[in-house]
Amino acid sequence: MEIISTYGPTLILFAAVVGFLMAWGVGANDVANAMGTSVGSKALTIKQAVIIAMVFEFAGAYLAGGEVTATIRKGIIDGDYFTNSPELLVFGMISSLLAAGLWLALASYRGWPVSTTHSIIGGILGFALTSAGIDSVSWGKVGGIFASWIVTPAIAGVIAYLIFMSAQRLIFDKKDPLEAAKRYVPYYMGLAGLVLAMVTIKKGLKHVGLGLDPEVGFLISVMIAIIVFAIGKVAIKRIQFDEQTKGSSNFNNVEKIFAVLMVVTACCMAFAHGSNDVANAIGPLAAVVSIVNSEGQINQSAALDWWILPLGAVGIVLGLALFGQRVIGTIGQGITHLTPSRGFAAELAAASTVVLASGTGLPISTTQTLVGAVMGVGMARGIAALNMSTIRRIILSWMVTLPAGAILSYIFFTIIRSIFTL
Amino acid sequence: MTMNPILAMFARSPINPIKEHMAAVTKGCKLLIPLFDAASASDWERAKELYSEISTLKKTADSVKRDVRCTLAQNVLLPVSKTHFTELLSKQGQSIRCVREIATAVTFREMEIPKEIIENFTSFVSECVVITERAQSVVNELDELLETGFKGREAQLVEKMIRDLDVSLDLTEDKKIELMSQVRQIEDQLSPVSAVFLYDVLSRLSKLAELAEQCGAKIEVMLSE
Repeated sequence: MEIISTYGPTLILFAAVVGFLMAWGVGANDVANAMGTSVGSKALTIKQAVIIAMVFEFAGAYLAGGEVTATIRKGIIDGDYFTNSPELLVFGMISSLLAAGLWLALASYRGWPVSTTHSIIGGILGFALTSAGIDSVSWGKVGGIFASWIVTPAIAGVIAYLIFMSAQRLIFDKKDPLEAAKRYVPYYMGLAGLVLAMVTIKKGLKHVGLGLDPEVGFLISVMIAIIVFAIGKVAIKRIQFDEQTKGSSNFNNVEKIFAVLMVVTACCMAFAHGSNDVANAIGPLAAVVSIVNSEGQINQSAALDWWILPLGAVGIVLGLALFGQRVIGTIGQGITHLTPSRGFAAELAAASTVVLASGTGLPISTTQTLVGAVMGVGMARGIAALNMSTIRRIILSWMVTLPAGAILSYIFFTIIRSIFTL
Repeated sequence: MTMNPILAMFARSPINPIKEHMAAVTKGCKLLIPLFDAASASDWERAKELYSEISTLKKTADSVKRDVRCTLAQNVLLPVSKTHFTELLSKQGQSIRCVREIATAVTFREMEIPKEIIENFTSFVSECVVITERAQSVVNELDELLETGFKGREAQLVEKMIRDLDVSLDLTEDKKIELMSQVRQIEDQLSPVSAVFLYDVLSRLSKLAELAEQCGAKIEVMLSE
């Protein structure tokens, strides 16, 4: 108890700095995965991608990041086990942050495609198991999280498959695909706007202080969808099409229309990523702050301090601003066959899945979901060649991340505890 | 540096190199027309030049082929089964080999074409070239087929192109029979060895047309999968 009252501000400051650095790392590195498909299919330039990412990552983190943050803060560990020694929970959360940060830095350096989400969950489980034993973990909730890591890529894959097939039927299989694209693509844009707006309004505006009736919220969402639809319509009208028509079909021009659509889905993707991944950085911080502020009371129902979500959001944006250009810039050369019509299907599916998961508070991996979505398009015979050995490598690195995060967190936890209790 | 896991998923597409390979095949095949013109004019210097051009194209095609094999050798998920791509490539490879065999026979045996059949012979050669060009346009549709997931309207369009290819093949077969009977009539005036070579080149030319049709057939199999 004395530790918290004596060192409280120091602990908060330390956690805030580490959390901020973690958010910064998420912005600098992880965002490239979310924006990869857009830049890779040349629908966006690097600069555009960075700007979109900055705006929508911030919006996603601030408006829709609350639920997942709550899960990481208090959903994984049963706080009752720490009532008598709340300082251990504080140390543990800081250790998890350090562990995840170190593991991510190492992975980035070695080029392993690891997941931020998996490393932070691994970290939390690691210190909880070693400090308070097996029962301190809310296994029901954690089981749900583990299941979601398998289920969400599968769902994203199925959605991507369906979206891609619908685009094939509505546009590519038409006598005049260009006309069909002009007609139907704005609807996809409206759909993307609708999903985003609904989740934001339902889950996000509450903690900003704007609670809305479900009916009003739905109406506003529909209005936003219509506005997005209209903007899309105008943007498509302004595209310069190539005059020469190649063969019977006009797929080059059709892809130009899909490139406009991809701007919208890239916004969704950035928003979705922000809403889910900000929690990895600030969830543990939020836990530390609430324990210290209540002087050692582990108050499961305490609200999130107002400054925490913006701190994470700013961290992500700063990371992007400083390194995003360079990291996203490494994308783009090797791509041979990722056209906007495919990228859009994968992105829209992944973004919807992630945003919905964020709404329910499940910390899932954005990258993993996107991998599932790309596989879905591949199954629909939409992609020239998918590298199966890379996919195996990605899955393997995910499985390694959990125990790695746990072990590192245990090490940090032991160090910090001995520093403060000596 | 960090490898982006999403982008690392995308392997190199075999389609572009296959098109590139087919382009070399068709280019070599087209050179048969000036080659036979040179042979009719007994201009063996020119024939040798053309032969070496064909030979270079064959080598280009071979190196592209190795390239495609590399893209197919990895553990990749393709929109159609890997064997279809391999078989298409092998048919294309046989085409350019056949072109080179014809060029070798004509150039180094200094094969003269009898005046009586020159007109029909030239038109037969150009028909064989045209059918290869058509096969090339079918191969070039692979991009569009990928865009449409190898089905629907685009697939029907390609199927029609392939049916046209079959019809053209039947026509070249008729032409070949006509030419054979013409050669038969002037056999007495030719040296026996010349006559044998003439028949041989004729059958190789019709083999070339057949290979072009088989390229189309391989793509048809992709569509029916």
